[in-house]
Amino acid sequence: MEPFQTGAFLTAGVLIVTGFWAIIMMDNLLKKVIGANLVGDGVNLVLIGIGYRPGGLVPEVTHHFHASAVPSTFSHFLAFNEFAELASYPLPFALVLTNIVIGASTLSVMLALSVVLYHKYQTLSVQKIFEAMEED
Amino acid sequence: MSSEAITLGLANQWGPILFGIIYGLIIGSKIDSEEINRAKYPIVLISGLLIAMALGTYPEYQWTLFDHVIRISEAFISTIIGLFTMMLIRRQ
Amino acid sequence: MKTSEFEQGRNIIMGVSLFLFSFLVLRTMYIFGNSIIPGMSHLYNLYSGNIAPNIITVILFDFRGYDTLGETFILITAVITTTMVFGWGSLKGYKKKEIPQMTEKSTVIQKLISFPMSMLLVAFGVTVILGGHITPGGGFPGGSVIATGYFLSVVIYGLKKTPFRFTHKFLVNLSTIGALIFLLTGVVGLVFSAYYHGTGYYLYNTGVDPYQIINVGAFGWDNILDYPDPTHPGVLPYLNIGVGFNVLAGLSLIAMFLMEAKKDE
Repeated sequence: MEPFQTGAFLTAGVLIVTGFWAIIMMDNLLKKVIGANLVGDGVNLVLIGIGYRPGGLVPEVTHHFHASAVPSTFSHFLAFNEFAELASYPLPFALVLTNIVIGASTLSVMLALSVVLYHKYQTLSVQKIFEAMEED
Repeated sequence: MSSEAITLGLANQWGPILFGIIYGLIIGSKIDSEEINRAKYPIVLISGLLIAMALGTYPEYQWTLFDHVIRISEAFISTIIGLFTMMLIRRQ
Repeated sequence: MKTSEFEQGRNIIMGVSLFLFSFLVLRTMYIFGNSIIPGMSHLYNLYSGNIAPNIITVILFDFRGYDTLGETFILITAVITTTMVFGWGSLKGYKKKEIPQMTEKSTVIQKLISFPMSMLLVAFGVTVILGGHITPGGGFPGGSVIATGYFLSVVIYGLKKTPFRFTHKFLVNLSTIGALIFLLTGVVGLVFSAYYHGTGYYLYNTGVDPYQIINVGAFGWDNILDYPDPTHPGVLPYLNIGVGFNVLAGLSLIAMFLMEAKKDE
């Protein structure tokens, strides 16, 4: 196990724990939203850390591997074999790529709902919102 | 033309040029610059050309025109051309 | 019983349980590196490299094509939810409220440089989208870059004076057109897949060779739609274009709605 990988996982753990702490313990709604985003960032970091390979290539076939290939034959399979041994694991990157856009979408929905709550109760504090709801 | 470009088969890309111009026309049809100084447009053109040449240093981005290798990012420059074409059509 | 009465005890219980939870998460993360087996990527890398040079795009649009399809609809759903929260009424009359603090603070240098910067960002985003199958990038990063160019001009000039006059209707149309391009390009994999294998499935992009069918041939213009490669990317570039439209329109719409949110009424 690489020390770099351990560091990445520990950082991700700290991010996830901080995010959960903000979601549960903080009073302000915006801080809860920020905490939810932190949890998503930690999960992204875990996924990227899984795909790490020491000394690996970027998962992209460069012209170096194409140059030994003859077009429209299957001889370049042999050249790709070397690449496939060396490149890092590409599946987590694809997952993270979709996860970023989904994170932006959920962030927008959360912010919109907080705007609606602020318009209704004139405050962002969860405690005061609960008290106002009990008075109704 | 280098052998890598031939092997990659990217020597003659008309697709990025076409789709870049389409993107530029679509986005440029929404540009409405009332208070924008027109003296900026040459700056945009020149810097766009420079950035396109900088992107074209990769072997993936070079292509040929009449048997000459042109190291330029065709998608970038065609988007700029599409934007300015739409702005010329709408007289801005 | 009011909430403020049991606030103290609740905080203590939650603090202790969160402390235990954090200890467990951190310990799991410390051990987690031992249970990873490197080298799982061999088969993925071997097959994906023969479809298109950018392996992440191949996984995104081919192996996990349904995943990406659902993801585009998640983006559309988020946009619709945000629109419903702020009201569909803003779609009709789009009265653009000017937030005074934002535009008055922008200096001369910001006003001078941000519009050329936005145009260059749009062009760079298009470059990233169209080269998504051969270079790093694709529909998601490229669309985000174009939306960033739009944010820049909106933040500096304000929604009223921005040179990019994207209306709500235009952005909604663009977003749905992008999702429709994605859906209909999947049908191409269903019908025209005869290059490598004979079987055709929905969103099966690996063996798709639409260039043999759409062959114009006259005047040497038969390669207008062609990305000629020894490894045929199939319909991956067009899927990139559709996703690029979708992401660009969705993120711009979200930013526009969040900027239009009225402050106090």
